[in-house]
Amino acid sequence: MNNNLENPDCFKQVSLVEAINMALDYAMSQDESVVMLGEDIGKNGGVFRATDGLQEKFGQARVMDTPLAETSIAGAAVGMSVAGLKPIAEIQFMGFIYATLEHLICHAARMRNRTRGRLSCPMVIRAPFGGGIHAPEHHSESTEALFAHIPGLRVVIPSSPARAYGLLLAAIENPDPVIFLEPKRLYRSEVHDVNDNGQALPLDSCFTLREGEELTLISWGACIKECLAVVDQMNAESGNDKRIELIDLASIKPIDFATIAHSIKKTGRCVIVHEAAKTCGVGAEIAAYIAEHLMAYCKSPVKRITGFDTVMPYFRNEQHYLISELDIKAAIDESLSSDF
Amino acid sequence: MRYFKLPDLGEGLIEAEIVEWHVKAGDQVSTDQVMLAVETAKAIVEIPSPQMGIIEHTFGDIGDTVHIGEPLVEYQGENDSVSVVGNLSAEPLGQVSANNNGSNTEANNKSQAEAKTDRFSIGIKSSTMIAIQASPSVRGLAGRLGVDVEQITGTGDGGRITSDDVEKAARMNQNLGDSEKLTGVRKAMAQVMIKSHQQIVPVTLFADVPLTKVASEMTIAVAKAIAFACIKEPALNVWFDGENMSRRILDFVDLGIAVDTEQGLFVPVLRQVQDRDEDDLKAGLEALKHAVITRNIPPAELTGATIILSNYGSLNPYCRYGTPIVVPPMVAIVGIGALYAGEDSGKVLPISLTFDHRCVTGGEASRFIGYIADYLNNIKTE
Amino acid sequence: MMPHNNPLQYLSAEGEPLTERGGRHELPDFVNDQSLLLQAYRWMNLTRAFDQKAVALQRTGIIGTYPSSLGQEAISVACGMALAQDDVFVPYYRDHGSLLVRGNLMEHLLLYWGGDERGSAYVAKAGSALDMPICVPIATQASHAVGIASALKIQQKRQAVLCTLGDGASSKGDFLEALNLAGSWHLPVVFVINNNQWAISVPRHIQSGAPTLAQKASAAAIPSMQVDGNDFIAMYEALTEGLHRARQRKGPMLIEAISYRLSDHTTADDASRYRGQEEVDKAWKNEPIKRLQNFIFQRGYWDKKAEGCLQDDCQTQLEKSVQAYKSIEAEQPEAMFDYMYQTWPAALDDQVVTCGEKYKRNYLAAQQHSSGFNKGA
Ligand SMILES: Cc1ncc(C[n+]2csc(CCOP(=O)(O)OP(=O)(O)O)c2C)c(N)n1
Ligand SMILES: [Mg+2]
Repeated sequence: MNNNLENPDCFKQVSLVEAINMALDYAMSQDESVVMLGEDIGKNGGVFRATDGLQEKFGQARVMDTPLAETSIAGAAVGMSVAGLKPIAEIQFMGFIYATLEHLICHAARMRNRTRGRLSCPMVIRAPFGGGIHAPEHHSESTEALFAHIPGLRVVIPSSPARAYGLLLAAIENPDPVIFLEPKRLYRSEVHDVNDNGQALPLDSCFTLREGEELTLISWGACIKECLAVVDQMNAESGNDKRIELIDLASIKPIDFATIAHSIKKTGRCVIVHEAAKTCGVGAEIAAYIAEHLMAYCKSPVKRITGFDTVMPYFRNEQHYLISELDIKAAIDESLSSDF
Repeated sequence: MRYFKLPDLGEGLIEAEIVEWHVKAGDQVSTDQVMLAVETAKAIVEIPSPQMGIIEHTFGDIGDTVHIGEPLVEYQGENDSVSVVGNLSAEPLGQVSANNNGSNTEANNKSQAEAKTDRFSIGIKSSTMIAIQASPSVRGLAGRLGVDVEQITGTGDGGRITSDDVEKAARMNQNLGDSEKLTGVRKAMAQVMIKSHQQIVPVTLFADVPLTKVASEMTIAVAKAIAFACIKEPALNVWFDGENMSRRILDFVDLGIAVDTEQGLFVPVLRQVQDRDEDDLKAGLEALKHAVITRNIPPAELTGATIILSNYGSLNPYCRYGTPIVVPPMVAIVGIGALYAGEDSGKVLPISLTFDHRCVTGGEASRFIGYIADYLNNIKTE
Repeated sequence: MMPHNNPLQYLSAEGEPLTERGGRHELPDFVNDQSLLLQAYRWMNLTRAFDQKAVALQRTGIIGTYPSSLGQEAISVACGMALAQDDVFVPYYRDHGSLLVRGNLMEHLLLYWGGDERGSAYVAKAGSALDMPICVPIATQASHAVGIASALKIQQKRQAVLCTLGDGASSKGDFLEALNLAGSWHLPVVFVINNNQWAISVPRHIQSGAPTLAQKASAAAIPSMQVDGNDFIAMYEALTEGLHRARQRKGPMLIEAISYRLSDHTTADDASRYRGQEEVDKAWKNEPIKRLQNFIFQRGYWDKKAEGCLQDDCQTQLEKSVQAYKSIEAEQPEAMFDYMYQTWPAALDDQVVTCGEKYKRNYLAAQQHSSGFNKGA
């Protein structure tokens, strides 16, 4: 029940990409200082249609098609945010975000710190990422760990329409730079009821998608889809709807270790699933935390199911790289049946 | 190929709506001849024929939504080889769910037709599991010594199990034999009792009730007496939600009856005790007991009690008093001991009533016992 | 030298020779070379047929996203033909014509767009072993072209580098920095901007306030010119000149080839969302193949019969290539590890094993599950 008179309940059936559009629309209508910039976000509504209709609604001054130059997009966003706007920049694909790194690392992430709070960069960089849509070269990688490694950045990845809506609003409201990565394989895969009431979700928190007592499965982004299928099936088959606990990390940086710790203490087993390459992936950080703080609660070693340390194969062979439901199930079975 | 299936026409699209058919069954088509136009989430797209052939059948009408991987046309006299090079219409590999055999389109249909619900909660969910701490090397040692760490009480920091604890447990197993792990009903009892102990604030009242006449079936008589008392003093016939501080006063009496068996304690439920006569109740109770002893009791018959009766007096003539344990969400349990001869050699029934003081007052409980006594002694009260 | 605001052009849209246009009076001598013009015409037609086929293959799920070069065949084919075999070509993704002229097989181009790395594995028959693979991250290839040109110069080789890019790409720092470096180091490199007026949905005027893209070279002191990119003769001449200068160590050059993207940006795009049909219809009147066709008809180099043969021939070649493409089996899953490093790191041992297990697990499951077609009519 929502008793907020200013923001009455307004449920809409939307896909993840539509939920993003809805959140952008809401933020733009509520706050004049929110502006958007990026390639093809205007008339075209973005190559995935995330910004569909917004230029028409809010005008070219607030929804800006930029020249083709990611470095400028990020650098201009730094300047805009310092000067009192709240820019939301779209990078068309994560594969083209690397030109923004200098501005993000050397400026956005540290403006508050280097001016001792005098200036800051409240900005959002949105980019679709991940494989499984048989897109061309450079359109399928998952390199969230690059950003998670940078002190001063927040990295957020939603995995459902409702979380996309609430987390994007939170990212826009947040006074610091947020890298908002959108799992494009989920853009249209499901339609959910989402309340368009402007309610943000907390940024530094995991989400528990399924409660369970025997094993903690941690994932984020598009892999949540397969994780959910596996968990629901395993819980149903075992007749125990509290068998596997599924946690959507959602906030990749900073990580909500309290929720993870609480879960591991309960279950004593952990499997981490991510599409990104294994070495130095975000899964490694979680596994390290468990090793540092929770080892004594673990009944079996932490397992990681991840992409390989290879260039992501082009789409003809990408299914050999992507993580399947069976891969996840095999890892869970192994963890459940192996004790130290 | 026999069936031409809708490929992903954009990047990550899942369906398309048919806008126009340019061909129909019986038509001869050549390679690359446009067969139909569809509208995806991104564009209107014309789809050509991938091969030469005669169309046997077209699938879907204008306005229909077709999912990726579903057939658009069938060609006459072709084998069904799906020779898609880029694998663009194939379903994802390695799915666990059995209903995804061959074509997952049905699942897709559903997911599109009705919006799925999305369950999640933010951050930590509370739980009552008790975590056991033991380092991997200690767990390894326990494994080698055949000791179950879950059955050891740790003596290390914060209850952590040490290798000493494991070795001690191993010695104990060697000397005394392995401990037995609780299973089934006994394990369930343990869990229920722990939960009760964690939540309930119990108070037990003891009463010695002189009886003017002794019923032949004491359990049934007391059952009726409890039902009577519940109507007179409903505060004890309640389900209480301690988390939300709310209670539900019930206008029916479903009485749980504690039944002792070799496997452990069962509490089958006699329904609607307030409306049934003693013979009916007696027959009902016999049936329940039989089902329990022969292990044929359906789980539904073991749940939903509003208050419990435990006649431990029937097990042993020396047992008079107890402190029975209230099982949430109930708030009361009545125990009766063995009848004994009172001062004037009349019979006395010892009653022990435990109630949850979070929800029930001492006065309500005392009156409740009074009503039981009244009923048993046939005293009419208004 | 300021660039022409008046693009170099020899033929009118109808294929009539122009005089006094673009500062040149006479048709260049090579128009008398019948075989050269017919070659160009054939390549342009094959390129168009290939584009059309590739789009159809995408629509039927046989390849992935594909960027058609419809309307820009003159630029692409002229690039391919002006290059000498040991010049180095640094292409972007809309250069199918040049790649074909360089001797790349159509089945290999299809491999690339069908999501198979081997599409970039072959040395083109008429190309250089150093020809770079198709570049997708926009404009990054401009820097590589400069690097290659610099290596050639240091190695004292008399070869040129040709780098192509789009009008959108001209907005990127990489391109402007590459121009700067090429000018500063006086490198043997020619840049060709395929100005097809659109960068996906972003029109040319949003990319830059400059009236021409060619003038971006001025600040780097690089000579540049606008050329009618739909006029093969103008394109070929400008390119020949630029590459010749480069081989002669006379430094870099920039050509802005004015054309129009008649197709969607790629098969994943829907251009009707952001541009009107009128504009497209008008652009069709300028398209390059008809123009060259009219010219070679006028000159008597070509006739109806030859035209019919050419179209048949294109189709035959295409069919053969598509068959060849379809018959190429996918690589083994473990092939993703094969070219990661020259020397094998032990750290990858486990992952290769995992990859094999994963394949068995998922592949076997797929075989169990695929009971064939199980949705009734
Ligand atoms: C660095 C980078 N940013 C964005 C993209 C996505 N993208 C692919 S093509 C394109 C437009 C390119 O336009 P233009 O340079 O004019 O070349 P055209 O495609 O028109 O030939 C964009 C934005 C990309 N490939 N690389
Ligand atoms: Mg362009």
